[in-house]
Amino acid sequence: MKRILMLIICMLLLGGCQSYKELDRMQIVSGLYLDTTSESELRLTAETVSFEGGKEQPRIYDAQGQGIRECLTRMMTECPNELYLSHMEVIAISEEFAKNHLNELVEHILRDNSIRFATPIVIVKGETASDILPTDDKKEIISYNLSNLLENSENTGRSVRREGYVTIRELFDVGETTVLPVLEKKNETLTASGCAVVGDGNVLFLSEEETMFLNILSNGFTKGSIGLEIDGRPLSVIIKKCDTSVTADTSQIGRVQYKAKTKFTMETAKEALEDNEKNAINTYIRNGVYELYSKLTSNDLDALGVMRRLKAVHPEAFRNLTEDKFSDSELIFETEMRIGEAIT
Amino acid sequence: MERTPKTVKGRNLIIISILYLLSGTIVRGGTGEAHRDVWLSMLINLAVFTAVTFLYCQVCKRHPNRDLFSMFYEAFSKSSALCLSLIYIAYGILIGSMSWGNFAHFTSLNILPDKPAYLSLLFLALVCVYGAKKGIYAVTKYASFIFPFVIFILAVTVGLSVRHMDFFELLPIYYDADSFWNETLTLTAFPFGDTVLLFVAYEALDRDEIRPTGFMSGVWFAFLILSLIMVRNVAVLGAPVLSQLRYATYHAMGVVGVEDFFKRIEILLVFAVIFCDVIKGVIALLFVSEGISKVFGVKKRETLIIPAAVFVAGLSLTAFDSNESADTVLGILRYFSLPIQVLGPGLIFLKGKLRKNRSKEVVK
Repeated sequence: MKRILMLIICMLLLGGCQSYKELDRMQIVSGLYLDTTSESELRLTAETVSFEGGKEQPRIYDAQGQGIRECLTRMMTECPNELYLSHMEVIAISEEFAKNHLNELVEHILRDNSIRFATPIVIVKGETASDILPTDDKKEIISYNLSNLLENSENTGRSVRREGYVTIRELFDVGETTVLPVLEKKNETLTASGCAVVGDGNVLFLSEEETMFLNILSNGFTKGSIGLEIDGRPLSVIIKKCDTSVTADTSQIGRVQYKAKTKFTMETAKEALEDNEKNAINTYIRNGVYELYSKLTSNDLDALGVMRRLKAVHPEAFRNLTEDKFSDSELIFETEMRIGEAIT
Repeated sequence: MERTPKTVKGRNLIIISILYLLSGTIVRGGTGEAHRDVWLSMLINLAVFTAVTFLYCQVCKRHPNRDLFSMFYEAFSKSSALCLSLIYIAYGILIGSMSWGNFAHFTSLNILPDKPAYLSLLFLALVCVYGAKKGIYAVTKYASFIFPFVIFILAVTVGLSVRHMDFFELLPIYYDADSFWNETLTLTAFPFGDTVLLFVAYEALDRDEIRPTGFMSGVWFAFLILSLIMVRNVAVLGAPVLSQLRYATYHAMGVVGVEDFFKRIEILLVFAVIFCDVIKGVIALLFVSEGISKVFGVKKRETLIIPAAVFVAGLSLTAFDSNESADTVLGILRYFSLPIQVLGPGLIFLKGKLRKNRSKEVVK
């Protein structure tokens, strides 16, 4: 009798599929595109996946509001189904949004449990982030393609790939600067090239070449190729391996120093390079790296995490700094090149 | 024929201690105040609670197979024992309701967002009541069964997180002294502050197995696992981000993904949390019902388990209905937790010592 009673009580507690959600009653968001319309107004565009006739179809919704929460709430009232953000592949933001509202977005991700921390944040070069969404009747879900595009471009060494949690981590840390991948629409073709350094209301776009130097300095460059011209003759070099060790310190006069030592393993089509060619490659890389560092310091954007490294390795030196001295810091860069078997 | 009482083996005590201490903390992964120095805070707590469990072992050696409340009544006058019992009953209720409140919040925020918090709590409470009615021996059997699963889940998730870690996040060491000591103090309350409730397991321990290493091993292993999880959380999410998050482990596991094939691994954590929270709930219920039965002279403590569960569940849904209220209580509790851990068992130990010395003098 007791057992039967227990069974009945247990059955009452089995809610089963009460308040279940069918897949076609949910609006699965594949990507969010965030823009600013005026100083305080935001525009949020969501690319969602709907299942019509058994096929995945993109469906676009947009809403405007004072903040991200307000935009999402408005969108939910317009959308027939509940927005499901957990499967989002990308969050794309415009330059203006990055300047003024990136921290708001990060705060929102931290508060909203439905957005996964791994979702990458990318910046769109151009007018608005939603520009990259197809305007014609293409039935492809662009947000899914973006994820592959970013992955492929990272392999060239001339772009970056950052998962969302790395961006959040960098923005919360010393320096409050992060590096975001850049998407651009050129002649109706979407490309992921270069990167943008974002911090403290500043956005600095770096070209593909500058991004390569940034990757070299931050030990994020694994392989790629460089092309240069020596005495009017083109020379192509394949970097097979690039290993950079970095440290931060302060000089005797209290200036912050970022010390980087890079070991390159390169290959060329020629069997042996002449000394002037080796020097030219070295000079090209050194000049590029120093120019990039100077650009970063003049904009006070610590994309390399110099101050963070200083705090980690020399906390007392960091504590003694009266102010954030990244803009006054200097780079000490050393290279070691292995071209074929010769070491320069 | 008289049934031989079922006793708990030393190995089972270690397992139950580990799972009990992991409960709650595996999902929160510390309060994030110490930031990078969380492992150092844990190390200090390890030293303190190694000494505390050594004290518990000495007390249990003198009073084998006796529960904490019986020890109070044996060692002290009735009024003193009543005062101490009431303090510990209240502490048991507090720990139980905080644990259940944390579970209800975690599930309603992350796992079942459309369901009310009390629903998941109801299921947990039912399982805990059933476990408590079956007694500590059944719980140790359950703990031994689920222990490999919990360890496997934690090992897999920590292992897969390695490529997402940035060990620079762990430096510098001891940079912010105030935050470090605040976190150290908080850890004495959460998770180590619950150790005294383990007396319900100690009382069932086989007499031959009352050894200091058996008592301490549980704390050591729990320390090791928790430290690994906390360090992983710091290295993946970064110390400043951690202090913004309530369920850091859940989010840190959310970034783990093996290509497109193996994603959403954080759901595994939910299993580990449920497994461990059942043990904590059962132990809290056993402790509270035992205390009430001693105070009110109720012979069968089993009859008090359901009222205790209703009280604990009610408190967890009212007093700990928000994260803020739980944090406020934790903020106060951290100053009292360690004294409560030591006060009762310490007094029993001292009283025993004094009696021993006095009897020696009498013999002389």
